[in-house]
Amino acid sequence: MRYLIVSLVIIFLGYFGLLNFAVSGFQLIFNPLQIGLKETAVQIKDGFRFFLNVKNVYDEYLSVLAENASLKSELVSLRFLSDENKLLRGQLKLNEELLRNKDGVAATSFVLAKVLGNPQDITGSSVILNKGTGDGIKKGGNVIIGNNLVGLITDVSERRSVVSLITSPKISMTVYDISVENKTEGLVVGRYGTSTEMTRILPSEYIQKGDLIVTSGKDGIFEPGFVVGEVKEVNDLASEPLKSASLKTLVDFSKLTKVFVVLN
Amino acid sequence: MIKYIVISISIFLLSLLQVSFLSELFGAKYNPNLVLAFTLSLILLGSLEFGLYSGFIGGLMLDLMSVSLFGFSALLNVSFVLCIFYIRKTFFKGNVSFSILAFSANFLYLALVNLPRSANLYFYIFPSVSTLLFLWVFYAIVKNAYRGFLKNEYNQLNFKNRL
Repeated sequence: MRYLIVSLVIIFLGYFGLLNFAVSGFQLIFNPLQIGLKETAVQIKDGFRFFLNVKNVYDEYLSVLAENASLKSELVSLRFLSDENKLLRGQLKLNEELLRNKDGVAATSFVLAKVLGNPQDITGSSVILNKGTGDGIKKGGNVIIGNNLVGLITDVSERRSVVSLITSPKISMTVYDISVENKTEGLVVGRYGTSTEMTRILPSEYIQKGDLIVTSGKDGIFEPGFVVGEVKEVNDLASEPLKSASLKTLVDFSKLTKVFVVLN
Repeated sequence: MIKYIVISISIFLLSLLQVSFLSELFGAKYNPNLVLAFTLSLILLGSLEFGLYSGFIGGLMLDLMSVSLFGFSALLNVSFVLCIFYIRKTFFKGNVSFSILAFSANFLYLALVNLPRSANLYFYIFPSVSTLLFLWVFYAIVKNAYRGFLKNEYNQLNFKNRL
């Protein structure tokens, strides 16, 4: 019975944040251990995958060699473009100062965080990061990797934060199709796993398989220009007044190890 | 005292393994609840006190290593231990009924922890089955390795002796 009472007391104290110092201390000490174990598990899993897919790896190796040859030729033309770009930037006097505000602070800054997974979330729609309010992270911060949107900070403590992935049904965002000229707009909602769905597309709007979908920023939650996914399938049913499209994320969220959190 | 320290160390290592290693290796959909499996294996051996202690400490460890309401898993574990112990003592004494109780406890634990996410109940079946498998593995280990260690409690609280 005493264990029950002690548990209730701990929940009560924890709810009002009176045990935060102890929780933060514990997490500070054991974060590296958790990250180390997680990375070991990833390496073991990748090792197994490699041996189970040796044939596929060989085929991929051959295709990568062919791709490499074509990329080398593209690189030459990109170098020409790079030189031209530098020249144009000089003429337009565009430099990094424009990207800073009046106090000289970068307009957008990021914090690198390691992904700890979330073993308690059976749906796989959220992950825990090893950084929290102590590192400047706030609730509502956008989480990205490269230019791909990963999710949104939904819960934060001093040393940890919880990211709801864009595949979570609780997350929705306004987006547009960057691949077409008229910028078809819609609303993306999560569908668990690695898929999301773009809904509320007007029947007159054009969208096709393979199009890239990016955030528009009109929702005021997500910054504009982050890649949400690629159109996998367009659902244009006569019985539905609006079209929808299934999207596939370009990032495999199960393999995430490091992400960036947008701070401001 | 040494017994409590050994159980604390075991439960710490198991919770670390559960949260950081196995969850990554198997994925959340198959991840066994090692803490609950170990705790219930102690109950299966008849030690209520060690079962409660293990469930309490293990729950706190799980809450510390992930982000959830601190103390919630501890409360759930302790409640399950008490319920299962008294149900087993009063009504069902067989191993099959104990397995069903253990499966139900883990199922309920996952359902309560994932309540805000309103996940499909189907998701909870596989982790509960893997927890059950680990429960019997731990039972075999604990019965042999800890038998001398828990000798007094084992003799005093074993159901065969008691009933």
